[in-house]
Amino acid sequence: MITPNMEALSLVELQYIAKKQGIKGSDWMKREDLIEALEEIFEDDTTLPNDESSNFTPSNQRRFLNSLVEHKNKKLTDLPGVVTLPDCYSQTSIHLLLVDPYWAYAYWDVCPTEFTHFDQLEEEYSLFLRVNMIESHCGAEDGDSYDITIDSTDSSWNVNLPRQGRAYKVALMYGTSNGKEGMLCQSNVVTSPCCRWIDKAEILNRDDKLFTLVFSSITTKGKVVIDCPLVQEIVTAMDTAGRQ
Amino acid sequence: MNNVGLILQAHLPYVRHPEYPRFLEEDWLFEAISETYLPLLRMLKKLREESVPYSITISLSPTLCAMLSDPVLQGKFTNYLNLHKELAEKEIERCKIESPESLDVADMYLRRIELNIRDHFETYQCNILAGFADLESSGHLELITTAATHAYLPLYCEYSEAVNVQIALAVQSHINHFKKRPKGFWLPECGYFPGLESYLQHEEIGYFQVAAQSFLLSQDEVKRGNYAPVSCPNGVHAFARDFNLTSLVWSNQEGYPADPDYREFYRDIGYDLPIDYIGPYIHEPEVRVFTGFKYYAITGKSDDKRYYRPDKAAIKVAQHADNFLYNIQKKGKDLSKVLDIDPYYTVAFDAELFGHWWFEGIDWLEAVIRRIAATGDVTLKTPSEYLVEENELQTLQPALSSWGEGGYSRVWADGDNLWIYRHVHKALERMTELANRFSGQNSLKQRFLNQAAREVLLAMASDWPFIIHNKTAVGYAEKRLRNHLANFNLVYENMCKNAVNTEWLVKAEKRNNLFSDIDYNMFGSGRLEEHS
Repeated sequence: MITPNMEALSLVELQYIAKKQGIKGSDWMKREDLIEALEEIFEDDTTLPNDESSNFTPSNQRRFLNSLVEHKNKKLTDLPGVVTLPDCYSQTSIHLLLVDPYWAYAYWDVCPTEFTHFDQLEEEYSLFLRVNMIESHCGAEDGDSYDITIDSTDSSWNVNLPRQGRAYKVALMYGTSNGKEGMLCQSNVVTSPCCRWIDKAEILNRDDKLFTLVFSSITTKGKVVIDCPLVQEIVTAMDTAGRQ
Repeated sequence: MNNVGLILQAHLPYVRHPEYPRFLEEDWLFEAISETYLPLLRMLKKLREESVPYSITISLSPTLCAMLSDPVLQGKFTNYLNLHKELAEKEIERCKIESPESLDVADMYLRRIELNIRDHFETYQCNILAGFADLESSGHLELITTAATHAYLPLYCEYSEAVNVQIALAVQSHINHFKKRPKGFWLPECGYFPGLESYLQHEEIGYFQVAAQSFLLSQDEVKRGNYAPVSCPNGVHAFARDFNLTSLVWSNQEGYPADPDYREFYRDIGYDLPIDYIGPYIHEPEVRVFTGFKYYAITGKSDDKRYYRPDKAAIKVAQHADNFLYNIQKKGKDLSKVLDIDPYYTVAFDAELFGHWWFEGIDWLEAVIRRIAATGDVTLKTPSEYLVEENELQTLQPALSSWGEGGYSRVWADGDNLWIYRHVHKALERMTELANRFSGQNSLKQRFLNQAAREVLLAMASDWPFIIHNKTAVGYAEKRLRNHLANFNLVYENMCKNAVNTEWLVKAEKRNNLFSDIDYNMFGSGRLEEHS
């Protein structure tokens, strides 16, 4: 735990810490009294978190990761000012975030009035995501789509992108027990990347010069190829083409 | 001729807590200054004094520049240096009695701290950015910038105003610190999405760096692999990182820094020595942290370690520098059979790897630079120097990519950190809404809106999802994210009521005071079109 500089804290922050420390009546205490009471507590607090069975991180753990120093501080979130964010925002919308060539992340918010409207219907309803594959941003939809059933309490979903090189958008839909469907909102479009070489792997097999130029800088000295699924697909396609 | 572009990217997230006399995460900055930036500057100046020719590129992130030039943090760093000097002196006495095998290393630490104190106060007058600027003015460094708060841009590609602000503000910050416009731009985490170059063009950026797979995965057929930069369709140049050579250093299994004779990072007296002794040098009341005093060699995977021997490590530094040069020359020889021009490729590293994580890393860099200078067939050249030569370059659209695990966005968008985007994206939408609704404000409302812009930019930093992904200082990262978003929401809600919370504003401006000349109007729709 870090002892805060009391003098630098506002009355509200001092009251917050005091409440956390179990000081009764802190909401009505004066600034000076709060500081005095808190200083007493911090002076008396000699208890230690007993997590020193291992004094150092094992040497084989996360060596040379591009990361910051790890400090064993578990109390920071107890400090004042850590806030809760809203679970959702009161505007019906859905967003699609491309994570890699095979996955996107959809998150959505539904305005509470939409649910009120559904609850007033005499039929039962359910929500689902409709994943639409489109040829390009500008082109017409080609009709390929699939649905994902979701619960009304869900607010996000990992969306599989079955084909690379295609554009996707996701609609948040409802369906009623009598077969009626409607759309609540529709996402932005994301395009799953693809690679020209996957279908032309035999060229890389044939052309040593080209192969050296493109692969020598993405493999380690020990011939391990860079960690990337599409590059891996090229390697697999070359293996397959080489066997044929 | 084998042309190599060495790029170091220096970045730390904005961590500044004036409300606390000491704050644990501020040590990230102090450790980096003591162990990387000051020793790096000493090494580069020494090479210059000895007329060893070199030309390298360093990206200094706007958040890092803001912290390095901040008087509050400069003062705290002074305390940090003094505390560490006291510990070093105490360590010499302790080692004489308890651990004579470590006495030489303790003495080395004291000498390094004394050099740091001299450089910090006398040479750089507490602002080490002057050291980088000096080396740039003599033609040894090219300084470039990166996104304002180091946002991982592919996850914000739908928010054009925000991407634009990240780039425009970075350029503005660079000009403020170095009085010149940067020619190059380091994309945080090499995160690139097709079209990003148009934002860079707006800011007159000439080139940027992409991950090693970016050219291969393009829809265009790359002609020279990663051995020449490409020109994007809009004329901005892209340089791909050479994974083959960088992995000689980066690989955590077989990379040079994992050699058994190098210093072990994780054995530190902050964790090893009794609280009674180390108490004053860790964090109050008794939070154990790294102190930088480490006496063991990596040795092997077990926790049974040998004492660190600098003389043995120096032998390995020489061997590894020789090996790196050998691999560069071998690559040049192999490429001469298949390439129609002299190759140019970049090797890029996080600056903090050298000295901080890899203690001997700066000695290794020095050895590599000296060896390259002594050869006749390898040249260190910055991307700008290469572009001036007007080589005929292929036009190619690089592909979506990053240098993170898996080559895309998974590190910054995994199961643990995906939740943040709902909130940050909403804040960005609202920031643009505020800039549109309340454009051209002055006085208090202007300051209130400017603070909202700072808070939302700080929430965009790639550091928070990265820390959450790596499960390191997760509590701190989450706290920071939530607080920046809450601060933004406070402004949004007040402005919707046409009110300004003055008391809060004054405090927030003191707390998160970077980008003093920020203009929230930059978030307004249509600013990009106006610009173009």
